[in-house]
Amino acid sequence: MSSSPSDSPSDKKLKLLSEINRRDFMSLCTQVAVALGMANTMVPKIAEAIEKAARRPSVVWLHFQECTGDAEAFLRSTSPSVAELVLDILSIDYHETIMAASGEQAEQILQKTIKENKGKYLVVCEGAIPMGTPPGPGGKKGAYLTIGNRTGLELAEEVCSGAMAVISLGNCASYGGVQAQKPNPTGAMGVGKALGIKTVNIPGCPHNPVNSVATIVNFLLLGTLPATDRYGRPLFAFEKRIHDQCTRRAHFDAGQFVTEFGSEEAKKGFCLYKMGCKGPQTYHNCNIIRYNDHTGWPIGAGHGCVGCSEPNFWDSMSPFYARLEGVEVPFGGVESTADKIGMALTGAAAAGAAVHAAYTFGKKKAHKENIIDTESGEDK
Amino acid sequence: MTILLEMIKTKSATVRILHWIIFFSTVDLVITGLYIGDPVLMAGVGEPYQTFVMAKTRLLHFTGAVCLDVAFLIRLYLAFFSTFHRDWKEVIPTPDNVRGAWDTMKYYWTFKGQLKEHRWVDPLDGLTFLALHFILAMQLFTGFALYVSGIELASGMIGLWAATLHAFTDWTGWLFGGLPGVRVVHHLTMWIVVSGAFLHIYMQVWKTIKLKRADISAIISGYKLMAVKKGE
Repeated sequence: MSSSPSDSPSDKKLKLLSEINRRDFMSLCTQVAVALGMANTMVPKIAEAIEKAARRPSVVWLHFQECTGDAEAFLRSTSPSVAELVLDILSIDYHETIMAASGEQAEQILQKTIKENKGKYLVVCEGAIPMGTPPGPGGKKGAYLTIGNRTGLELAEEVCSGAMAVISLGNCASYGGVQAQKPNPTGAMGVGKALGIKTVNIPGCPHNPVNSVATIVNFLLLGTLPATDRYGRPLFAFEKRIHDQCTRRAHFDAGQFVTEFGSEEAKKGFCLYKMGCKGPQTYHNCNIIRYNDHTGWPIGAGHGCVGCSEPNFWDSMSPFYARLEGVEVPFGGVESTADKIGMALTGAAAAGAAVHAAYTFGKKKAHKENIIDTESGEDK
Repeated sequence: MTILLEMIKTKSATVRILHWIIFFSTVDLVITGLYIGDPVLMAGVGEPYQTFVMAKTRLLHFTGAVCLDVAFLIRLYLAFFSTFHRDWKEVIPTPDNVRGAWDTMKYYWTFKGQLKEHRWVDPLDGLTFLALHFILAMQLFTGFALYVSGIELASGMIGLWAATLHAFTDWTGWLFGGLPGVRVVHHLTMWIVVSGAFLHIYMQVWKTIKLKRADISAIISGYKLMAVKKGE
């Protein structure tokens, strides 16, 4: 079946690109400059870098264990048509969600891309890689995820081995996400850990597209990936703690807290610390960049942060709606909260003391005679 | 030969002062820490700048922590280099000390056998003292790990301070699973301190009453009663 040239996907993309006017384009470049913490004098250079990007490296976008939330977030990039712009310019050669090709043809494109651009393409990963071996006959390592008859692990190894750089989008690709949490039945882990390679991690659930665009532009502009923290996250986006740049921080310092959703305190925009907000433990720029066209972010919308940019946040940050009092601590096979354990400990100490007191004070005998001295009689 | 009881100096002034610094800062840390962990509402609904309850509580918590930690470090120094008495050997769990601690424990519960009188610390107190300092050290490391997350973007001298704290405390994050785990450990350890402090106070009161050697006096005046052999 043939279609007329004017209807082909690439023509459609070109049409979209041509619809972007200079104002929107410069607006995007300015946003990227802000995200990267660059001066506005850099905006023309960013524009130049993007405009030159027709000759830029091709991108292979891989999906593993995930919900496609990060692709969705990327496509809903904040400025008008940023998605189309970046996708065209970057020449995303393989993207399971949005590519026109399918089946054999798609896999051929992938093979062609990684062969022709060996060492020169970017890989964007989305989703965790399962490392476990399914039980039963024929189960092989990583077979919990199979794409085109190959395990996600094999695919990732093949594609990432020839890549210039690997960018992990979202918490799953970065650290394993929800499927890597206890008991982790499929042995899922982040791409960097699974392959034993260094990746740039842009976590979040979903990640913020401004951060991924900024990372890629950083790469186009300087030829290097941005500096990262100890969890592989770009410092420009993940250096600061949510708590320290929170719009509700004044209420935290003042001791004004929301204790119930929908209450008077909630309406006044008080601090969500007591509602289980994990802002004090979370490093992300989402309160500066914000989501959905810079309109909102969780705490701004009256919901506590759940720490989605932190490794293993499903396990380590839960319960999401309680702070310390709700955290269960594994303790001798019994899970309890820190306070319960502490009170039990103090109660046990008090009970021990009470038993001891009752027993020893019941004895009338004076015990002075029983005490022998061993060290006295030295100097005063 | 008669045995007389005499007041003997067992604690130097510095050790006594450090003890009470540790006492008051611990009380401060427990109270402010409980508030920070689960703040009760007392600020009302006025403008934030008019109250700053949490900010002030945290300041008190950090101040108490620094007092405690400095006192802790000085006490550690004195254990090795005091000019009055160097007691580090008495808190090491050597076989002798462990046996002595067990004998003391047995005596406290049964009054069987004999209680050895010690001018410095008895082995039970010594080992407890060591355990307490490991617990305080745990609070020091987990506490500063939580604290440094608020100042790590600082530059200049404060930046050096932050970098130092990172170098000394980052292992807690790796060990306990990030800041949330560190926070839970910090809180649990607080309860160990509370129950330990309770037992400590109970034992000192009990000893003062039952053994009649003015044990509590030692931490205030520095002197306690000990048997002194006199000729004739």
